[in-house]
Amino acid sequence: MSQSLRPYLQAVRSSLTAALCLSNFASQTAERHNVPEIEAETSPEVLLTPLTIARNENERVLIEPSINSVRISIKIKQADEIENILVHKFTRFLNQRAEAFFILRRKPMKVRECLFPSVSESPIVALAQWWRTAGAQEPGGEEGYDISFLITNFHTEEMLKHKLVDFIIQFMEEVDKEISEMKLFLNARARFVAESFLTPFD
Amino acid sequence: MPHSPSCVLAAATGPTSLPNPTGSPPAHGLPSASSTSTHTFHVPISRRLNLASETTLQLSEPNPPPSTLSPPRNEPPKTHTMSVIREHTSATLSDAWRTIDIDSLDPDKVFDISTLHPAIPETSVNEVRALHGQVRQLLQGRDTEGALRGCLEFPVYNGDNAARDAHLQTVLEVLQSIKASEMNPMLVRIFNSEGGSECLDVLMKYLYKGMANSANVAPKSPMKPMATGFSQIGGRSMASHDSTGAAMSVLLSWHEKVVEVAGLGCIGRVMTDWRRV
Amino acid sequence: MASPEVHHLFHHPIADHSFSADRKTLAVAKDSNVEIYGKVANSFKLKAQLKDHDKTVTSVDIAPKSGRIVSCSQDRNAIVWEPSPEGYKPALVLLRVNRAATFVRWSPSETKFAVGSGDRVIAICYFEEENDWWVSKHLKKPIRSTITTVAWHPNSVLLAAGSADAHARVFSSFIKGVDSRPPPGVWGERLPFNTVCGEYLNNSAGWIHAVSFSPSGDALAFAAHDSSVTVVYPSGPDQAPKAILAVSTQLLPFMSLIWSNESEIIAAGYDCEAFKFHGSEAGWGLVGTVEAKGRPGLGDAREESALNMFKQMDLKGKVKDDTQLKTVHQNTISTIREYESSGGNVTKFSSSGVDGRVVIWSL
Repeated sequence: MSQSLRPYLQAVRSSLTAALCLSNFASQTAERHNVPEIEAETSPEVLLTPLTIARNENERVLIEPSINSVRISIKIKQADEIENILVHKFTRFLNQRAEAFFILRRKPMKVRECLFPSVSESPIVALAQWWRTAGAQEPGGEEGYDISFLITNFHTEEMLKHKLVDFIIQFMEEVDKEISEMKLFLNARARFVAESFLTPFD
Repeated sequence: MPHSPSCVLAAATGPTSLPNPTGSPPAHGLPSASSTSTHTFHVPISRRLNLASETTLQLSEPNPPPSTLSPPRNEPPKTHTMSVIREHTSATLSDAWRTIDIDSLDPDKVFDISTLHPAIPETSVNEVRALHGQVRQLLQGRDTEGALRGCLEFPVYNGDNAARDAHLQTVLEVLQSIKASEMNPMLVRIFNSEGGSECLDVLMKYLYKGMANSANVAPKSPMKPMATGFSQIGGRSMASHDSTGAAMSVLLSWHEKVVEVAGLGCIGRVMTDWRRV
Repeated sequence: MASPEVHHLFHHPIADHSFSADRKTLAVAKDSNVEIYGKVANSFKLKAQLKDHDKTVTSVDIAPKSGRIVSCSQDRNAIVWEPSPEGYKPALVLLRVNRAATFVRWSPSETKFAVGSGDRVIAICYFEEENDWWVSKHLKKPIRSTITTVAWHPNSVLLAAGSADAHARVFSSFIKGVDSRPPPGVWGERLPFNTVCGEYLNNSAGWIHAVSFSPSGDALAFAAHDSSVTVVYPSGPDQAPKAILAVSTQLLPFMSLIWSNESEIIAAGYDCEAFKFHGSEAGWGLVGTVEAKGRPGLGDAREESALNMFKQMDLKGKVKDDTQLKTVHQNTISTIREYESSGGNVTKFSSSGVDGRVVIWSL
């Protein structure tokens, strides 16, 4: 692990451990409901100050804690356009399989969305919007996060908290590796293709 | 909260379609309301609009101009109390009331979150600048611990963005001027001193703010897709990237040291504290 | 120090637990049921399931003298379960709240109980003979958010409540005809219903998880989400308290606390273990954990065969097994209660947590 990555992940780990102190909290707004307060945003007093941990302007984590849920958004390192496309494809692949990951949010957080929560959006509209904002060609994609997780008190009850934290940390480590690996493969293939194409002109 | 027990409810009903069973003249002399009558119904602060009971509502024009309802007119808006049931016709009995957020009319339910806490005195930019000058002097006199304590004991909890950012810069400057080997012993000394735990909470707040700010002020790197495809992100200066990276690594190593000394409780207090920096 | 007595009941969060006076019956809140366990030899066996709630049961309390059980749930109801030879007979309480009921406790006199709710009220419930029904009176002002916890003063009139708006408050819940007039004390002299005898806010705030009066009732302690324990010593009606002592700890927040005597508090929460605080009006401080680290028995359970170790390394590629915490509780402790006391000192206390364990600790 590179020298500067370790303190970054360590900071994420300690912040997450502190944020994941969740309790079962029924909604104050809707009777007989129990919803993640961080998504509903109906009771300001049960939301806490969000924390940002940044390694540089391209890599950061946003932790938004509340009384019964924590939303974690990750901006994955994208040094160039290829990585941008790869990250987009990769996170989209994961998002489409969100139910298999339990804590994965179907849609990553955008900065705009933080201001105007749109909970009632239909999945199709949400997907379309996400596609639009996260599109590689769209500069707006720069503003937001690439992937978001939502951990509720039901997750911390079922699973071990430190393992949940480990999962997020491991994800962050792996995704960087994965992306650079994919980029290498892509470059290798591009080189191979280019070579085969250009051979006749030798 | 301005809500009185009888709330004014600007229901989106057709203004002219209200029947006028009491036979009072429709015009009040108010020019803007001349074609309508302003009916007053009192909404009890109940969870449901109970149509069966003798509830009364105040219906005014949709989006009433302020003049219609402002009290200091010569003639106050005429009100008549009547049963809702008699009042409703097919035109007025719309589904609009279903979408009314009744909780927002209840002064007990809706409140300003800031009223929960005592007010904090405001700090002006000038005070922050003065403090910055003192901290600078301490730094020049090699009293880094005094400088750190000095800026942590006077956090800007209430002030405009300029004051907040200026103080953040002061704190960051002090943090960057402290050597890595000095961090731990200095934090332990501060933590064990009077009010030290609070100081480290403040430091933690500024560490998070510093990291959050870097994300916001990050230079927009405009993507310039070239016709040929794979391009580096255009015009991105590696220098700026490296400098934010370096600034962040200072903050991250401070973060790690503060957690070592003040524990996870310190991070918890950054989240719970309403006094944000 | 004797090693703690661990009862692993099931793999499900225990929202709250309560022992009967003879410590032979244990009621726990599991999901939308209240489960009654009876002591058989040295373990607890499931005796009955009380199933009238249809949402998560948030709290349960057994009255020591009458044996009545009161439970409350996120379905907005509280139920009093009357013990009878045929089992427990439920009686629904007229709470008149529209949101989840979050916390319930019998008053020491057992004529009343208090139910905290998400409707920003506390329902003080008492039995009305002529209607044969538990009815309630609401403590409303100045609560601004969900009540997370309540605790009774020994005189059964004063009630402390913590809420998600970060305030701990002390109310009077005096009900004419039910209570006898309490003698004047540090909290106030005349105490009509809904008198606010104190309202306390921590500096770094955070919602309140637990409140508790000291055994004498002359001090109040509360634990908030900012990992702090605050002790308040009031000085009399309409006067600023003598001392408000806040201990900000380096730990994660505490979910529950009890006084073991006038100068000692035990608190437990997200760190999965209990901690001792010691102090007086002059100041309070964290003493340390109640749990003895590296106690015998822990090592045996975790010792693995070489085969198992290599299996783990092969299958999961990991060298050490870190799925188990070093503490007895494997997840957040949600409630701690007094279990045994002698001469005004708590000698044993019980804890229950999200991991489905009930543990009895000796001090």
